[in-house]
Amino acid sequence: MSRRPRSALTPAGLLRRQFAAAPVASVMLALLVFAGAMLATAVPRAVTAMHTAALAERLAEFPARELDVLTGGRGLPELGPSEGGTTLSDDIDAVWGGQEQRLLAIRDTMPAPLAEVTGDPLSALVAGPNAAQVAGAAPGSTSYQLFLGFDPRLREHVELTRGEWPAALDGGVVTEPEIDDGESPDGAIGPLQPVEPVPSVEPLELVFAEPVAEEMGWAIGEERTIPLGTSAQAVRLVGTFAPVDPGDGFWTHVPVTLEPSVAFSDDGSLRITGLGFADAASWAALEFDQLPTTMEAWYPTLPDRIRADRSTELRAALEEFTTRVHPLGSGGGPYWHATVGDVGFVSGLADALEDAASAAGASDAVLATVASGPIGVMIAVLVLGARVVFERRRPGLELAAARGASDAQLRGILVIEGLSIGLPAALLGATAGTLLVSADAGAGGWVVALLFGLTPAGLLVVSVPSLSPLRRARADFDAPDRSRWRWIAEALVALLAATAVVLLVRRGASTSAAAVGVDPLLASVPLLLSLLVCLVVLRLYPFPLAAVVRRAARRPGLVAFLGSARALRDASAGIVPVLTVVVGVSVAVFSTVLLGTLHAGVERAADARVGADAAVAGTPFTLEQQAAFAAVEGVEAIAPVYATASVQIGIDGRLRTTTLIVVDAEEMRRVQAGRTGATPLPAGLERTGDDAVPVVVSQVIADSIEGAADPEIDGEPFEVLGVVAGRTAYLPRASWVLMDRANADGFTNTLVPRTVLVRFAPDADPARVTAELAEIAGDEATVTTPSQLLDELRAASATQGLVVSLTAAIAVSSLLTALAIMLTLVVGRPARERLLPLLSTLGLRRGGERALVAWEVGPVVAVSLLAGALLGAGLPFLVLEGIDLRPFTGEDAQPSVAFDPWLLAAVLAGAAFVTGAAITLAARVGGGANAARAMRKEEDG
Amino acid sequence: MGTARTAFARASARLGVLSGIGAAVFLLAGLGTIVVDTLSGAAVGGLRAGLESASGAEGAARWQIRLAGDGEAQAEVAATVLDRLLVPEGATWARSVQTSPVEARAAGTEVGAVLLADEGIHDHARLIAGLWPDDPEAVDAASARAAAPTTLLDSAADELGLAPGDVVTPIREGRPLLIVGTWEPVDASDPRWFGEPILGGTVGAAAGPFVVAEATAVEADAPAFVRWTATVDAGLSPDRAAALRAVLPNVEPALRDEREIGSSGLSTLGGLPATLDRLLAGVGAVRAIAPLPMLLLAFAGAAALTRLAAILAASRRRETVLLRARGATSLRLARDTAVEVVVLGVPAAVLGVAAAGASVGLVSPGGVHDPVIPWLVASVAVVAAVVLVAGRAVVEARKPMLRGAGDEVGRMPRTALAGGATLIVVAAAIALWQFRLYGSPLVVTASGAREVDPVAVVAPVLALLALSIVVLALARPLAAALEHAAARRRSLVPALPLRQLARRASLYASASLVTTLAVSGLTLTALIAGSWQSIDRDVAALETGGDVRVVLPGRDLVRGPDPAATDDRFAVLDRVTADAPVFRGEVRVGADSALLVAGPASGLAAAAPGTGIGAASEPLAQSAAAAAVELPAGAAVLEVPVEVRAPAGSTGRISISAWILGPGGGASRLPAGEFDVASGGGTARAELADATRPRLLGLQASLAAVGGAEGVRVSFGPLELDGDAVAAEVSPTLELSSTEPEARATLTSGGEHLLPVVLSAELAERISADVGGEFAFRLVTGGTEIDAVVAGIVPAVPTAGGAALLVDLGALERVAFDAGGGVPQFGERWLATSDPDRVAAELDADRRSGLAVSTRADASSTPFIAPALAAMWVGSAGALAFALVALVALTSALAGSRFGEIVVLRAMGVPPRVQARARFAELAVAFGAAVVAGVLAGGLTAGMTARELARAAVARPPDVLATALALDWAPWLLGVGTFIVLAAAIALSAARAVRGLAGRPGLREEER
Repeated sequence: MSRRPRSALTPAGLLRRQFAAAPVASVMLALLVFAGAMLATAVPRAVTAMHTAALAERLAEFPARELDVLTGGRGLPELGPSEGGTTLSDDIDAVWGGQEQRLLAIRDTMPAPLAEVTGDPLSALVAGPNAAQVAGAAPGSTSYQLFLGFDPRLREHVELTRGEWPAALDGGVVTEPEIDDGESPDGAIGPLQPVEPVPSVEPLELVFAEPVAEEMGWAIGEERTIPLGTSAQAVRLVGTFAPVDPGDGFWTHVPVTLEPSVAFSDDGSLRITGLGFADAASWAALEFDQLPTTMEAWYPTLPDRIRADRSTELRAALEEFTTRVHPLGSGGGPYWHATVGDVGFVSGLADALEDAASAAGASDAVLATVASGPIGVMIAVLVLGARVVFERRRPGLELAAARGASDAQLRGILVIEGLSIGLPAALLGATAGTLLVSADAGAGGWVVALLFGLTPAGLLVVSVPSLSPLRRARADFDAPDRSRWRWIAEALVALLAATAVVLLVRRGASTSAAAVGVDPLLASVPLLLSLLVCLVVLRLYPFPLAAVVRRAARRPGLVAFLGSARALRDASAGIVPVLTVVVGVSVAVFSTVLLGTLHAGVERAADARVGADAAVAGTPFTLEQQAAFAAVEGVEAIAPVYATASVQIGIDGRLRTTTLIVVDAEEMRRVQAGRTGATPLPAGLERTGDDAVPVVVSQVIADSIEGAADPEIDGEPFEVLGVVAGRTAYLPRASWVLMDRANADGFTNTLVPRTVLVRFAPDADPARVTAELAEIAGDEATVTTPSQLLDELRAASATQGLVVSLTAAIAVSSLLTALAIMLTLVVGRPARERLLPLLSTLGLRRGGERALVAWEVGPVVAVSLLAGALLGAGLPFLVLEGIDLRPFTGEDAQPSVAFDPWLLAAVLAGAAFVTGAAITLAARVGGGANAARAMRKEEDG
Repeated sequence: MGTARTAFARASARLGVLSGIGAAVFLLAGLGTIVVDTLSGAAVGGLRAGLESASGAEGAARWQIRLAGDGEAQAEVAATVLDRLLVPEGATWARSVQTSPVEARAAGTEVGAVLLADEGIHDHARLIAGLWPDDPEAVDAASARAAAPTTLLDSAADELGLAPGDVVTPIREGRPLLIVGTWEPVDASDPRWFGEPILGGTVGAAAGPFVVAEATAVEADAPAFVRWTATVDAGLSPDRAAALRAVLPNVEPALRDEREIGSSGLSTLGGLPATLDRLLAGVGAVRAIAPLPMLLLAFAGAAALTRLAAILAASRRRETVLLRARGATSLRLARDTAVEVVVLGVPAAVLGVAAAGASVGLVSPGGVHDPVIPWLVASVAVVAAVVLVAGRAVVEARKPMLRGAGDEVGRMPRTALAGGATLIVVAAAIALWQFRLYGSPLVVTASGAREVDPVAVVAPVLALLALSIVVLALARPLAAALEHAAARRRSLVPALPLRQLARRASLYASASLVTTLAVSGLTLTALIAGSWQSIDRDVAALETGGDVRVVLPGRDLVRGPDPAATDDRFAVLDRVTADAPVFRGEVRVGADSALLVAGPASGLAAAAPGTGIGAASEPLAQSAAAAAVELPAGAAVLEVPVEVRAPAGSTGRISISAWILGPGGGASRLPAGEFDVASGGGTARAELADATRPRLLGLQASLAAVGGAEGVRVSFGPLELDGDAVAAEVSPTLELSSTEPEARATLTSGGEHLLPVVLSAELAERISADVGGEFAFRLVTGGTEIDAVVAGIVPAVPTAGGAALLVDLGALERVAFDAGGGVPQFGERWLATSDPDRVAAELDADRRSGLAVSTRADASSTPFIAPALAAMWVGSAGALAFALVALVALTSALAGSRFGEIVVLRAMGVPPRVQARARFAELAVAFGAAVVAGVLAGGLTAGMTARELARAAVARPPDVLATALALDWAPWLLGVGTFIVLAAAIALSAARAVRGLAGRPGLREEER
């Protein structure tokens, strides 16, 4: 049996052989497509994931009660068992089951997007406050206020630490007492009146959280009484509990549960308020006792299920659900026993989502601006890669054309090769991108990936007209037609760039993002400016090069002359590689500067917010504690923020509430000496006795009092010694007035600091000092140092996202730049293969050959590198006019451009290194051509 | 021959073309002046017109408080505040003191005399008889009779039968007033008078104003109020208006801050802020469409001048070559040309400006004109002409000597043209993209202000230009195809002209471009105008509701008999075809607020024509019918037996009221008698005599207890109407107590558990409501919680903005009545009329009623947009005129360059008639195609931009209101028709010239 020869001249065989003849270029192109497709699917998913994380961070700032879908009011629950059964225990179900069932039924009517992010319904009834009398207490002694809590799912929320669970009061549902309608036998009628509540025989059993029991001085087994109508109801503490999860949102719905409230009454005595849970079934016995009550029922929002990409649907669902009314009971009853009827639900979730969506829009605009450069470079490199593949195929195709292949056939060959390079790579890349990041960002990424897959075929096909079986194009002759169209293209780029810059500065990326989402024109400002500078470079660099050629011509050596002349005349480099290098380097440098700016901004923000080596804050600090802080070894000075009190600024009669900050200027100056971000405290702040109180105000206040006749603080005139934009270390708000302690009398009653700033001694061990300070401050207070805060700020999703994208932009554009240089040299290889052997036969040495290769791209690459670096350094100044980095840095003011010399040097050195390496590598690859073959080729033309 | 003479000779030789250039400059300067002047005046003029037409309280802001003990100090600090805040922004203010009615006796009757002290009254009022009270003579006369002098409003004097010399005596205490004269306001609608009802002479028992000295007002036996009224000069600039608008809200707090002003009761009144808001929106709109006509005119003018420059240069080709050969520099030739253009252009520009000034003055006498504009435009026109013509001369002079015909375009210029065209196309694409992306030429900037976007605003004109260029680019292949087709026919006429067109496309390019641009500009203008008229009409209708909207003052809840609900005083007005009572009030749906509009389901559509709420009639009809029980027509007395039971010893009185609905659904509470609690009841009786077509809503019992009566029960028997039983039952027993002293007996029939409502599309979308869906809302006025069912959805509810609900008024009253809450009282009446202005004027004339009357014209943006649109029409007309200039230039160029062709064709035996027909056909095809292309390009551009521009030109259009693309047919047809006729005339005359030339015997090539 004869075997057919393997490399038959079938089309498939020919194509395979053609591909095998020069696979490197095709593989490289495939890799580019792979990378592009991967980024196309991975980046949107990563952005979505970032938005979701940022949303979660934002939602975490709210107490659960604000986000839960809640209804509440004075209506009493309608008691009774459920019909189909609930997960409540039977005795509780007999009382609360009906309501639970109705809540579950309401949940069934919830629009799906909302139902997905909310949990099963919860409800709690709180009765109180009631004065809990201690038997025989003297008037004027400490008073106790008791809230009674009824939670049908109490045992899921708390665990008993001591004693026992409260027993249900007098079990079962109490029937409604008969109400006397007042009609007497003689026909005269009286008013409808509630009957007098009757206390239960048994005391009502309660459990307290440990700290509440302790603060209320209530021992297990002790009985106290609460007023009930004209009589008193006995309540007995039977146990204490600890929350299963103190962070559970449930605890935001019931007041003073886990910690008691301790306050002074108007008469000067101490008033302690706490909440104790009774058995939920006990409510049935108390239902008609006319206690002041509030009941809340809610569907807990589960922030971890909320995805940023679905927040629009969720908002719509919330809107729909909250505008409907739902039957939670039959309603009705006299005013002292009105049961809940149709209810509407409210939630702060929609507002939080809207805020987050607008923040996400703004950050998308910034990310798109950062990404535009690398995208441009990627496209340029793809074009270059396709050109390399085409150049590799050129001899074969030209031969085919000479032998009669039609244009359609030539195109067909290129399409097949393009698709076989592009599609598998795109498919793999997109899949890899999808697997790399777990988030859902729709099918948009796949469409882009598909476009990447089709690009090689498209780029190869559009090159077909340049195939000529007759003569080889001379790159060193500028085609007149091309030069004529060149200025048009350049003018277009200039027009686009100017328009984009003007619009960016005028509209601002955030404002425009709020209106229309990411505006591609504004986002592409860095790319367009890079393109513009690249065109300027291309126009200008021949002038110095021509001078070099003229000078080299006068010298004896060949290499310098030939090299510079070739560099000038033979545009083998062409516009694409120059463009790639300028854009790539400028984007890398731009991203580096932006990254440095971001880091510096975050650091400044952390430093400014802490305002000292450490800040101790959280609770009021006693004089002893303050003295102890100062006495800690390693503490050089402390400066308390004596008060942050609410004051009214009168601005032509309009009252504006702001916060008064009271510090001791001298102390504060000592603690903050040498800190750059510290709030300036001008001399004269501590001056007393003037009519006008000297103050420093925030920019917000300064703006609002501008033009006012006689602004006043709490009715007193003041003199502004300084204006500071944004927040201070003393208060996390942007609206404030600061004055010295010496002037604070009359503006604030108390000068007990809740924040103390600390300066460390130069040789102090921060960790040890911080630990000691924390110990003195107590559990409730926190000690913050700038480095801790810095870590927190850096960990914010938006900041992290920007850092990652900037780093990726640096890496991608640097790599692509190197690749572009290599590809350029590969494109120029055929010409070199013709020239170098010829020169070597004429006596050119190997070193000379390499130098010629270096000359080929060296000047233009060097100029491009320089221009790119300069542009990249200058771009941030312009771009920051339009984009707002504040959400990323946490600063109050737009960060000023900061150059991180090490990072910048590293990126530039990296760029120089990869460029050099690429040139060396390419020179070596092209070096070993066979002289005889090359000569013959040259002669063949 | 000297240089000057040579130059003069050269100029005289080309007087024709130079005259064309002069004409172009004349047109450019004249039309440019009209356009720029109209546009710059549109904003200022619209603002002025708006401020001038704002009458009464609409044009003023007023702060009012009780007169302080130390009136002087109060006046002084207020003056400081107002001078500081208002005067720098261009407002003026005036202080006056007015008392509440002082009970007095005059000419035997009791009257509530309203005293007014106003130092500046002499400037705004005139004496009819006698003296002003501050006249020394008046003071003497009064003191002689131990009285204070006063001058009484003339109309009040007439009504009260008082005349100078009469004395008005306060009933309780105080000095008598001696009337020393009568007066009347110079212009009662002047905002300074604040549209006060008292200027009508009497309001109820109050009469006046009696103008007195301030001291007299202060010592009068009635509270005196001091008012500061701020008004603005109509000549306020837009920037000052914006600044004033910003500062107005700060005045009240600033006054409140001054201790001397007084501690409480300071209130701010007046509609000046709202008026300024509306007018400033109009100013923004003008700015959004202003660049269109200017750019259109500029492009067309530049193209025409370029064409003329090319012809001049071409016609001088030979002499230029000669002069250059004899040593003339290209700069000298250019200088000569520039001098020619200046000599001709300056008078032309001056003439143009003068003509423009005359015509603008004729059309809008007294308009706002900036004297700099005409001279600026004229200078630009002359400079543009000099640059274009002299520039062309330089280019021509520098051409190689042996080049052929000047009309042929070289490779470099061709590339430049292609490049320029590409740039324009790309620029247009970017501008259009941005325009579409932001959906309007008004964009919110980084500073938060809504401003005209420099890129989006030029999108329409650039799109026109780009499309015209694209059409031009397509013309060559199209003409080639036509040539190919025509070549198959044997006759000369389609073949020759089409061949000429295909092969001399560049000759036609410039004229075709201007024509396409001009026609497309006209089409765009017509479409913008049509779309604007449509949306402006809709928005004005939605803003106003009825053709005339009457707001009745001081109404919120029904508390007693409401004649306005039961009479039909507006329906009987002349020319009023329909009227409807309308309640407007805020409601809370969930956490959001929305506006509720309630009117009669059946009559609202007729009273508010063109607002699209006819669709709501049917869904609401059932609830309207079920709202109350119809009472027989002509019924006079409603009777019902009342039984009162109370615990023994209870005291107090029970008053019974009958609630009825008027014909439009407005509720009225009629008194039906009072009974002692102890009396055990009786028969309640309500008079229905004044009510037209009343319907019964229910009964109400109120307890006025002296000493804490509890448990009073009121039972009602069967209702009777003029002795006949009424087919209506009310809930039989009510319980009253001192804590709940009022209770309502509601009808046991009719009413609906869920109130049917029609939602605006925006609200329906916001709460995801579909027809049949249920939701709840709370009515802020009266505080009733209402469960509702969605009965329908309309695009928008008139006068209610985006989120709005529409319900039947009667049904709403029923729900509120049944729920025991406050029953809302309608506060507006919408009238449909064929003559809104007249009806409004008639209602306005009756100042005593205190009605605020507005018409749809008040809500229209016409004062701003009409001048801007006029400028657009002028710009388009100008562009058409330039197209005609280009056509003339083209025919003259063709006449010169194709002389040889005529000779050859003549020699070949083609008769002159056929040659003439061929030339006409050539021109007709070229320009016909350009016109068609212009219409298409204009239509396409309008499709992408006109609706958005029309929207931007209207203040506050509702989001859901779609803008229809409509064409303003009449001016468009007139413009296109006139152009076609004139172009045909030019083409005919060119053909006639060809015929004449070809028919000349012995015609030879050398004769040229």
